[in-house]
Amino acid sequence: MDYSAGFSKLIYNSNILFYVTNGDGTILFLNTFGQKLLGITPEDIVDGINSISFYADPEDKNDLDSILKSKKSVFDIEIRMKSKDGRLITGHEYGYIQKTEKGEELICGLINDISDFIELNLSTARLNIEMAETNQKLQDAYNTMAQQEKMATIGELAAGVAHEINNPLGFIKSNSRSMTKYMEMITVVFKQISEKYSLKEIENADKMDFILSDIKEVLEENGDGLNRIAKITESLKRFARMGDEDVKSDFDLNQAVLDTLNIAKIQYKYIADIKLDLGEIPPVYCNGDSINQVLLNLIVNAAHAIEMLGSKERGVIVIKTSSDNGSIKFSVCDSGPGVEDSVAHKLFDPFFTTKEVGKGTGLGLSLCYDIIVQKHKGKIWFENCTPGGARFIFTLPGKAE
Amino acid sequence: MADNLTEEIEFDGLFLSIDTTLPNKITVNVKGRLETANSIHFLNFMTELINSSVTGVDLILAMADLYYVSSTGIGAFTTILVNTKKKNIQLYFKDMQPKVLSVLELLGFTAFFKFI
Repeated sequence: MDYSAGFSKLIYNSNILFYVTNGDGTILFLNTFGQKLLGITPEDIVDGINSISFYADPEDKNDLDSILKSKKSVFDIEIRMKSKDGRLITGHEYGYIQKTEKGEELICGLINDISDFIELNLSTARLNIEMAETNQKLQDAYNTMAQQEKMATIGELAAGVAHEINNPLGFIKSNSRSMTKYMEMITVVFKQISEKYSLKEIENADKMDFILSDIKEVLEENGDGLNRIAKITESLKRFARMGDEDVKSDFDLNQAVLDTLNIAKIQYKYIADIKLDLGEIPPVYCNGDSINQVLLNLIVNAAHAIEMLGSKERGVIVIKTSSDNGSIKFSVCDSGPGVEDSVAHKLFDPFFTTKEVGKGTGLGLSLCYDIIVQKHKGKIWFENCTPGGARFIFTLPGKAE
Repeated sequence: MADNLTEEIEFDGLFLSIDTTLPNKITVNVKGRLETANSIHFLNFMTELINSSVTGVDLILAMADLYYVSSTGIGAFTTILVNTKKKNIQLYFKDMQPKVLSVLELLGFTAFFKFI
């Protein structure tokens, strides 16, 4: 039985591209569907159009030819073609080499157009990626909010504690001042008594000169201690003042630096000295609570960086503020190990941290970025210092900007 | 064979090995051709690797010797990217051949990936 007529009909009428080319790729036969798919006419075929011009990347044709040469056939190879009007076509190609009676090698093959199927799959893939990215952004936003909520709670707590400490501190300071005055009077009275009367018979009277002079020092020290407590509670109250983070007002950045240094003292006082270079700057129009948070993160990070060196020598943290053409610049430079180039691009990414486990959440710098760049339209960046250490810098636009 | 470099395994013309020499980085050397037939093996291999990796590491696909990627292979890349995002793993394509990169460009996927 001769099936050739049936196959011939199939080749001419099916929605699969059938072709025959000679060894150099010149198209000798292309069925109707193939002509329609590639946008070519029977005249183009008569003119000897070459199949390589329809491959999106001519290299693909060369690859295909080399496989055909070595294996004499190709099976289910994915190819990308471009029609005459530039439409991208993805196909699965099957082909084999057929020798003619004259010994000429012809390539006979078929290409199944899978463009729609591929486009559907790739569209789904694009959607999946976009959904994953959206999910990641949502997760980041949730984490940032959770962190801000945590910081706000801590701030509220700190402000409450500072307020509670301030009340008894007030009367302790007042009593301390009274006690100092009373002791001055007691000292004078005792001096007069000891000049008029012999105190040899009185127990411990010989130690009174030392005790009275020491009490003076003790009270002075107490006074210093109380003043320091007052300074810290004032800083805490200013720092942790609760408010709407969208509300902006004029803000004294230099005072905020001093307050933050007071609060963060425990983080750096055993490992680094602070060098301050606070310039004359105008008030900054910003949300003070958020900027306090940035200052705290950057200063604590500087201390942690120096601590990471593990050196017995004390490090240095240099803090500068300045004003330039209306914008305000803040920088903090530490004498730590600096930042490796390989991780520099990730510094402001959420959850990225170079700190040891448990020491950093990896949210500090991303929060700083969010506050400075997103909320205040400022800039934040870092640079490695010479001979070592890292400098973090932010600028905030002036009120007019 | 060094402890931090696995032996190369083959899936129908695709060769894979894992290098963990660099700290916090997992490099998968991908060589040969990523075709319709072996893409599923590649995806299974990568999924297993991602599932067993800790959050926060960098996953680098070193592709200097990868000469062909089919659209199914591109699909595998996108699934790998989605899986890495779920685990907060950063995916990088390293030394991608221009020919393979042009396929990604052609299909509009370059914006989703990071190249080094």
